[in-house]
Amino acid sequence: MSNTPKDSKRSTKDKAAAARAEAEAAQRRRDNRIRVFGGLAILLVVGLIIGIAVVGSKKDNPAAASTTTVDSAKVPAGVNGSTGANVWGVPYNSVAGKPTLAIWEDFQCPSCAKYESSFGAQITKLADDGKVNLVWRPTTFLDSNFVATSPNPNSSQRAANAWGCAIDAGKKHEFHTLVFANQPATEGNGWTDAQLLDLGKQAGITGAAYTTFTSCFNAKTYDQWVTNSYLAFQADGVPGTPTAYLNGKEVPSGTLQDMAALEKLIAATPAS
Amino acid sequence: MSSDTRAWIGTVLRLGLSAILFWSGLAKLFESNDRRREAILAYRVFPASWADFLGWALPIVEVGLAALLLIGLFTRLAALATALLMLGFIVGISSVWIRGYSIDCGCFGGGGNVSESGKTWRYTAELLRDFLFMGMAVWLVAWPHTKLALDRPPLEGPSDYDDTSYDDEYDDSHDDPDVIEPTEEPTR
Repeated sequence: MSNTPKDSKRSTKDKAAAARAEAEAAQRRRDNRIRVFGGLAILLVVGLIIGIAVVGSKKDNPAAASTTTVDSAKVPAGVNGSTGANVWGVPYNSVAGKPTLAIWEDFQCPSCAKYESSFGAQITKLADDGKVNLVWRPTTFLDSNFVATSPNPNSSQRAANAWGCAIDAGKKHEFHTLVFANQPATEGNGWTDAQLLDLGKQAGITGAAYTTFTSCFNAKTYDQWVTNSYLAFQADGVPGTPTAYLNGKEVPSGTLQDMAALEKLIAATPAS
Repeated sequence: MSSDTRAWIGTVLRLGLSAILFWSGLAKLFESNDRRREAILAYRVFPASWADFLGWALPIVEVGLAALLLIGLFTRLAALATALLMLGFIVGISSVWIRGYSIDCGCFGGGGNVSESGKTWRYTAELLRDFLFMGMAVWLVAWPHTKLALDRPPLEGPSDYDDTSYDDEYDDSHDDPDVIEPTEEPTR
């Protein structure tokens, strides 16, 4: 710093500039601190939310009998086992030289119930007429959505179990239709065990066969079969329900819900 | 439009997008693993092996962006990511529609296959909505300077952030709303 007047004036200017620079630097430091702490706060909040979600998700899939496929699981009469196409699937019919239409369904899925009521009869007629081999493939992926909220948890799993017992009683088609027809209006509300047993009665299972049906259901005879099918659904990466595959190739929903187009596609598809 | 008005409009858009992303992200996060997975698979775009990862990653990204937009930190970067995310949804929904599948977009939870009836209206509404959200985000990319934000007003976006000394001097004279409003427009 100099003492001459001229320099003094400049010095004042310099001082002002220095002060401003200092103020700006302080402002910058303050802003940077806000960013750092703001960023940390965000990380913390997001991390907390994710943590809660992860912990919450641990209680998923309580319905499944196990988390691994058991190849030796008992299957209902006439149902596919661990080998061949459409493992653990429920064949509706069998005609030589025709393609196979496999439909994945969850008994609690509203879109499946809607599909069943709109087109179910036409689909089974295609099979009855010998134009296609129909295979129903059960899955239970919706159960985990309603663990905490459903008055009847694990309804997909229990309904599929009951279906297995009904298949043994020779009421494969009847029971399948009845479960979808009696799906509760609210998705996830499901059925009580008593309701499922009553559906067996409505399907026409009587006398000694009904006693067998009841004990079969109460013993969870086909729990592992249902779980195997669910695990196959997961392993195949099936995009939801209802999803249909004709000889292993997915049928777009536009075709699946247009019977003329579906019949044309089936006619143009060679045997599997 | 004065820069003040623009900043207030941007504030409304920023908080609106934040609320939308919080809602969509949290709805997905608190669903079951199965449903998250099926919502991704329903698009028939990604292989099954990616579905679990994406089912987690997507809502986490949404909640993260929502949080940044809420406090107005890295607004331009967050808005850019949001716009790209919306573009991804628009492409995804268009793609399933074109390929003849009828799905619930799963945008705010849910998802999966649904009936064909009402498909055209449903897809149209979803696409229009996502275009609207993308437009909101694009506005914030263009004008990220908003009120009630942690971002320092003169600093617009992450590129300014790297070379602080230079950009501070430049921006201080340039974006100070009291000084240069008239000359601001032509330089943009």
